[in-house]
Amino acid sequence: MLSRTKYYLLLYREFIKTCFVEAMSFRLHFVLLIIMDLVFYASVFASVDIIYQHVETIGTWNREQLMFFVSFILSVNHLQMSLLANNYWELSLLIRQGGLDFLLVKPASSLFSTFLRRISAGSTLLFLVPWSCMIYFGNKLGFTWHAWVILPFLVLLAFMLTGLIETIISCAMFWMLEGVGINFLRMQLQQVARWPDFIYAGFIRKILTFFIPVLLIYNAPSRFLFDFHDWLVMVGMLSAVAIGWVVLFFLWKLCLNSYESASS
Amino acid sequence: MITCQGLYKNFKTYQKEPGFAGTLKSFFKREYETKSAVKPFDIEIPEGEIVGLLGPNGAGKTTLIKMFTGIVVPSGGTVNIIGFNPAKRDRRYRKKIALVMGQKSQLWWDLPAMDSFQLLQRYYEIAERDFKKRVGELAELLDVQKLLNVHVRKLSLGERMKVELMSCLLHKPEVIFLDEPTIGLDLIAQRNIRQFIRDYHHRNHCTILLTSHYMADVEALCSRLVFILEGEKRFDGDITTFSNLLGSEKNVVFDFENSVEEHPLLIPFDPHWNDDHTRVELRIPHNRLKEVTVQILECLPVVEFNTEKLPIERVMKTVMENPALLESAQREN
Amino acid sequence: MLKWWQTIKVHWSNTLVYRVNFLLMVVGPVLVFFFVKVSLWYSIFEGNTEIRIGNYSLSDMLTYHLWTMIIMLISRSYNFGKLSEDIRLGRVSTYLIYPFSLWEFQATNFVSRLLIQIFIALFCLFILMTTFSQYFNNFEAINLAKGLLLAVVVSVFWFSLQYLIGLLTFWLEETWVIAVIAETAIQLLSGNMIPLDLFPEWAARLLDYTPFPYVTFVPVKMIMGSGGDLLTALGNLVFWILILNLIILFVWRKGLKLYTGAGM
Repeated sequence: MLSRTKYYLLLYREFIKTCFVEAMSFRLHFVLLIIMDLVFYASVFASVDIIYQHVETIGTWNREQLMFFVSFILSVNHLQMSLLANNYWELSLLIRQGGLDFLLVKPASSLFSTFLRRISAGSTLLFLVPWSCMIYFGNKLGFTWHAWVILPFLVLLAFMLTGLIETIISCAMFWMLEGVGINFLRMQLQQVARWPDFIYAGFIRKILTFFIPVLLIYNAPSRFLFDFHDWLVMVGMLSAVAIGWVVLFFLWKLCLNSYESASS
Repeated sequence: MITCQGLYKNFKTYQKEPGFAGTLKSFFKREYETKSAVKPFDIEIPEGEIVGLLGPNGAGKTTLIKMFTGIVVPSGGTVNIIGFNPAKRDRRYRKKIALVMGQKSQLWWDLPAMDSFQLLQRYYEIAERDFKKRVGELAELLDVQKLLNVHVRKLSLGERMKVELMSCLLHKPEVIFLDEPTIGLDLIAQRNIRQFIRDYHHRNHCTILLTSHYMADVEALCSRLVFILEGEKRFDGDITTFSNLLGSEKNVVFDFENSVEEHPLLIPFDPHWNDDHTRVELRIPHNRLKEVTVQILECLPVVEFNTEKLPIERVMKTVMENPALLESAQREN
Repeated sequence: MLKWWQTIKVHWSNTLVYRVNFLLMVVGPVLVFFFVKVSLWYSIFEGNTEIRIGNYSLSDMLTYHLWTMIIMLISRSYNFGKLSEDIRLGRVSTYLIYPFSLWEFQATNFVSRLLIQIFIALFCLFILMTTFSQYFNNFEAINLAKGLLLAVVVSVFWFSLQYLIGLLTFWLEETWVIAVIAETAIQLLSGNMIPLDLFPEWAARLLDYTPFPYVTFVPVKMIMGSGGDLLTALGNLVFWILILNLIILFVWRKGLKLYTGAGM
């Protein structure tokens, strides 16, 4: 078990190294990626700010709460963009052009190689922006030391949940002629998840909380941080993560069984 | 040791009627059809042997290899390779095999090959000292020492294939699957790759299963040949038996000074002309070779001629037109 | 004329083969975005029809976003990827030989896509008009016609922009980053998320000197009857489209020189 963990850590270190070396040969792309993320951060904060110039609260949340919520989203999104996103885009190519074949004959978990192999070197550097925003607004909200200790773990947990959901969705590419549309579906779900859950009407909120639990990703941790009495949401989130892992392992087996591999 | 019994694979494909109406129709309702890529297939390959899997495109060679490597799950039948069932994808099994595909690359395109090798070192848990030694040996054998630090995208196809082969052999696999390793290469590069595979096999005594549609690959490397047609094994045996299928005929090419009319002398030997009738290819039985050639040299304005064995394309074409040949050869074998 | 019609038919055929992708890439995002915005604004107004934010009552705001959706459905285009691929795979040289120029080919694709998108937009409009008739009582047919005319012109703007981004493939390995940057910025600055008259005064005034308001805000206002003079709006749009196309011409010439020079 321990040696396996060490094996994967060493392998992952090699992934990181390879991706950074590769990114350095495309300097302009590297810079553009950073600009893209910055524009995205700016547009999200600006939207929320403009709305709060006209109202005091949205639902029960005031400006600081929503701003913290947005910063939390961006920190998780930053991890997702750096560590996972490229792999989803590449999966459709891997399947269509048969590059997946090589990952399948390697003596490592194919799930690991398929979804963690590509790291976006440019994005990794930007973690400072969302984290400083999170600290700034957390401070304004008067977070206790409990909240600060627990915060990094909540970011990781949210990252895990979003990763699980998106990976499960991406598996659909195994049954499609063209996988790009699935990536758009993924982005639409991100779009929906990026707002407080109370803005959605009852029935849709239930589906997006219990069935495809995208609303839990950012809402559960934020609500828990605002008020520790709201611990039930965290139970929901933890079970969603657990179920997600089970579903993913089962589904991945199904994918590999039906993988036909491009003929040339 | 590779054995399989009754191994087969079916694929589902989707049919579309031509034209806009057909597209519109298939938008709402798609019809699927089952296509069998490999029909029940038996084979037994002893340890240390090199076997050539030969057949036209789409015959099922690659699908077979993919079932052996655990990439594609068989629809039925049993496979046992060095004690493992590939479809179970046991990690220990994957550590002992290697797959090279002539049409795909496992190297990172925008990096020097050495970076990809280091990644493979981690994948296969190769100790640093073994790794260095191995890279040194293989690089020397393939004569690519200078290419390992060049970006892969800047390599020629032949160079890339060498590096590709190297990347698959770093972990000393026991069983090696080579899928069209010489495809698209020029003749010299093809010869180099063949030479390397032969030397490597000689030194390491691994089992190699090679697919190709170049007869030369198989001739140079394998003593045993398996011929597949439409997903079925049609011949399995000695390579000389297979090449004698068409009797002892030679392929002779004549180049003429100028355009030549059909000549009664040529007709019995299945002439294939080029467009401006300055070159003809004939199939001449071995025992009449000398006599016929002399006659042609006398009667026609020949500037050059040469003989070779029948190219695989023509053997296959003849075999496919007349499958009975295979059955008789199989019986003799 | 016949070859145009043939190309259009082939394009439709291709679109329909990748049916799920088409829905996920073209229709899905717009519908999801509409759904998120409606939920958000409903929640901001707390369902209260009395409150006004800026000049907007709840029903004004919902109507605004409804028309935004229709304009988006008609005008958005996503062609940069296709052009990038053509350039990268060296297909541009085949167009240089054909009697059918690259420009003509792209333009037919544009027309056929526009026709499909207009059809989808009208279909959505019909559904919405029958189900939510209460939001449609105070508009005039003439304004709708003006707005839709603008939307068609806006689609030329989007097309030109995407074309320009695609052309950057001559210099850049990956152009999608620029496409995403443009999209993120335009989404906010064209009033797609928040109507521009709710922006701070200085920002709104600054935006008047850019093409952004004409992409969404002005056409929507036109339909709602407060968009001002049609000719001014059209003039502005055409001006920006001309500028874009001058840049395209310049970039295309530069790129082609690079392309033939490199002997790709």
